[in-house]
Amino acid sequence: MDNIYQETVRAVENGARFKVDFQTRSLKVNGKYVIRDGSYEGVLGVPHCSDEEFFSKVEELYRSYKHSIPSERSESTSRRYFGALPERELSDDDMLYGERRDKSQIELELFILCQLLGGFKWNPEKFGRWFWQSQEDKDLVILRQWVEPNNNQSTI
Amino acid sequence: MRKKQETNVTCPTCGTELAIAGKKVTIAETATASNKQAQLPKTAHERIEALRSVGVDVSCLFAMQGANGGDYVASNKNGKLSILDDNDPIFDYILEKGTVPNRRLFRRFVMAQMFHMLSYKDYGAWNPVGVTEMIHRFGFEYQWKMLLDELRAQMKMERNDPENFADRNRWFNVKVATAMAEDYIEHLKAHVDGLPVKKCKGIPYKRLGSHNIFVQDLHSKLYSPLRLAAYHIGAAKNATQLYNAVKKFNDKRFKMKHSTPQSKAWIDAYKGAGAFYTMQNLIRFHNCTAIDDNGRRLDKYQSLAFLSAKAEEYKNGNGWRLLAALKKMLDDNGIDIKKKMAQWRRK
Repeated sequence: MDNIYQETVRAVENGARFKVDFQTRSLKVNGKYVIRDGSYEGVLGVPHCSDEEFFSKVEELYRSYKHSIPSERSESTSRRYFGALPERELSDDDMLYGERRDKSQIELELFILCQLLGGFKWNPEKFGRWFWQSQEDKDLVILRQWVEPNNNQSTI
Repeated sequence: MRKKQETNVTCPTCGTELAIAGKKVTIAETATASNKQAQLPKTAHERIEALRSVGVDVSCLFAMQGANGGDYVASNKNGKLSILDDNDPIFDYILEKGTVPNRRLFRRFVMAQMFHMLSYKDYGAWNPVGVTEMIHRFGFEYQWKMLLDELRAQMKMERNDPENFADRNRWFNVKVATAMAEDYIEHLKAHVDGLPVKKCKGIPYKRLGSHNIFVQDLHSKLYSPLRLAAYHIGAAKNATQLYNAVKKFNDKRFKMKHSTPQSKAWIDAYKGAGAFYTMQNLIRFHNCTAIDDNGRRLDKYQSLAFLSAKAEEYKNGNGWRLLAALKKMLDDNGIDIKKKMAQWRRK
């Protein structure tokens, strides 16, 4: 793909199914691997950014995802890294002007995956030992396990 | 003569002044009290009826009388008994806005979908693709799934909620379902005619889906059962019969390609229903009002009446006109969807 990020978002917008796996660094679109175990053909389409930029972008994408409009299809997926608001908790403005949930989910998850592939490293002193929690929205949590799948420290 | 001692008491809720002299009670209404009385139904029973008339689910509410007199509206929701305060926000909201904020009743999803269809642009494109194209993109099968969901909902509300049933049945009804069934049979015929003829021991047959049908049996095994099912749709007398007939037809039919054109009657009903509920929501909850055919700006209740009149006028095959009325309303009220969406993203 010329631009994996943009083309995937476009495909999802047009109804494609997808699955992002942070731990194996993989992305499947319509059942086919686009990124497999961290290897891919083409360009990711997301420039590597600093830690601050990364978290600020994730917060922005998460806000959009949290207030996005769910659909029967988006709600049928069992695996989700992040929680979003159910329809009854969305405001009228969210319903009118919000993004589709599928689209905002792939934008958020694929952005994180691209940053992981781009060399994002977990800094336990800055981000926390087990997880990072956004100060802006406490519902936004990134687990260290997603970034460092082989990190096997004891939980005590 | 000794004068009877009088005690003046003011009701903390409605402001009514009560002068109690011995055993006799006299009521002196103050100005504030009469205003309040004019706004709120007097008895708990009347309040429940008022809520029922505006479409609130009152199955868990009942009127209760206290041991010392006085009416209360009590709720027995989920087995938990509670008294609803006269100043409950729901009463205030209904009095102020004249509308019950019930997200299911006013179908926010329909409005959300219409806004999405009105504004969706292909990647890199300058202009939105348009509602008709967006509907085509749902594919042929979507119309049947949507129709069944709609008729199931209508079936449930026909007895309990005649007002909303009438609003929904205006668009998706026997006429539309029959037109869809006939349209399907036409498309199926064209599809079958285009299929290659195969032979089994010299006898020609066609393969449709996973079924092999001899050409000579096409009418008896394929078209006739569908025509009979379509006839039952046309003969349905109520929503339950209609749902059952459409379900039977749907079970009998073969799936068609995604790109097969959808029924015109269904597209029109879809546009009409979408525009109707979107406009209704805009008027009720987003301070939008309509401008009538004489160019006169209407108030909220006139706008709702205008919308109902237009819906009645356009219900038979002119639903697309209501979509045009929706676009006009957005224009008249200065709502730029693209701009609003950009603002939402920046929030």
